[in-house]
Amino acid sequence: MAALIDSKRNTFFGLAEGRRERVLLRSALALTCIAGSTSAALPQRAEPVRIERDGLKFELAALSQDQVRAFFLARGFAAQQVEQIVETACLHRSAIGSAFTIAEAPEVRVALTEWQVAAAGKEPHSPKVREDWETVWKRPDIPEDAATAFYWALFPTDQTFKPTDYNWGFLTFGLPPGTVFDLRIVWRTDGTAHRTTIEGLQCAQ
Amino acid sequence: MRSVKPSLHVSRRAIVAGAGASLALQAITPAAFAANPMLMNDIANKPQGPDFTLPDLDGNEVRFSDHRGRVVLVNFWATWCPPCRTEIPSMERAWQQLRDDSIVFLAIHVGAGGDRIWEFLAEFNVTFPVLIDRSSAVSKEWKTIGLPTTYVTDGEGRKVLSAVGGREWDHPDLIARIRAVRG
Repeated sequence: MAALIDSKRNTFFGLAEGRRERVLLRSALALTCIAGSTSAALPQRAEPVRIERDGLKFELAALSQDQVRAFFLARGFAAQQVEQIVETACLHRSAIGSAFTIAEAPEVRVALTEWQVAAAGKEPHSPKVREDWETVWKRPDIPEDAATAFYWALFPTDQTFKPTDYNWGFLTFGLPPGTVFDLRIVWRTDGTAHRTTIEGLQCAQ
Repeated sequence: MRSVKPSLHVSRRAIVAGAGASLALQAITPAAFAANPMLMNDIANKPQGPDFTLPDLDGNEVRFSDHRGRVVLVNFWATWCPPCRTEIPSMERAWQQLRDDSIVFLAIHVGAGGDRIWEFLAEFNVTFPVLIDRSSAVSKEWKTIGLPTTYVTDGEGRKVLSAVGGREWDHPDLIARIRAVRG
């Protein structure tokens, strides 16, 4: 993987400030639950996106910049390191797991590397997962305890859920603040891939 | 190119935000999973739980294999993990029901916790042993990939049940499931 930090340019993940794509909000749908649809349009707002279908239980919400600062400062990151996370990570909190509630039900597999983050004017890419962040965590200026907390706070890269099992964690989409994007998610039950697209998500600004 | 230059204003705001970290944690607590039924899942082939020696909060070394012959509930958690915080009080209540059955609880805090662990445990009057896995090496050796994750091991130290994600540990179904491992 390419170096995550270009120290000469003082960028993170090679993200340049660039022009902010202005994307019109898509039609707003009330979304406390999306059932049976393959695509859903979202307003840019604070309420979590919730999906429950085909064995998947999913909850996603953007964190405000101050929530991100609060969490990472409390874990031991320096203020400048926290600002780099705020400026580049596009951090959302998530809870994802199995919607099955009987022991005999199939397992649900979620591999973040199969997901796609699609923002206007940018190449679709996968969310930034634990392995992508490891180069950052190994920097000598990052306290080891802080890096450990960051690792465990991120949603696991690839996880298989038994009935009622779930995990929580941060998803980092590697986009600048304010970017509007679509998230194409994939999950598998019994080897069958299920897909949906969540439209109109936005990084906090 | 974006230049990261945190201003004094930002730093002050961040400090204030840091002081409110617990409020932020509340804001990121997943709500959609609260109504899940209380299941623990069987672990195929009952793999051996890797032995470990970890310090407790008083600095005493605690070895997993010293509990051979007893059912052990091993919980991996962290103070900053919202569902961990939610489930710990119910774990204390479960402990009060199961401790007289010679069932052992070991709550392993993943990463350094510092004073926050003491504050948290005091707030919820937690009395079962809490160990510190500062580097998270033990957590990974146990093949834990997210928090909270809980295993129940049998008298031979084999992992027989698991629960990934928070539970209400004093739910009668879970109490019965744990007792059943003892046989």
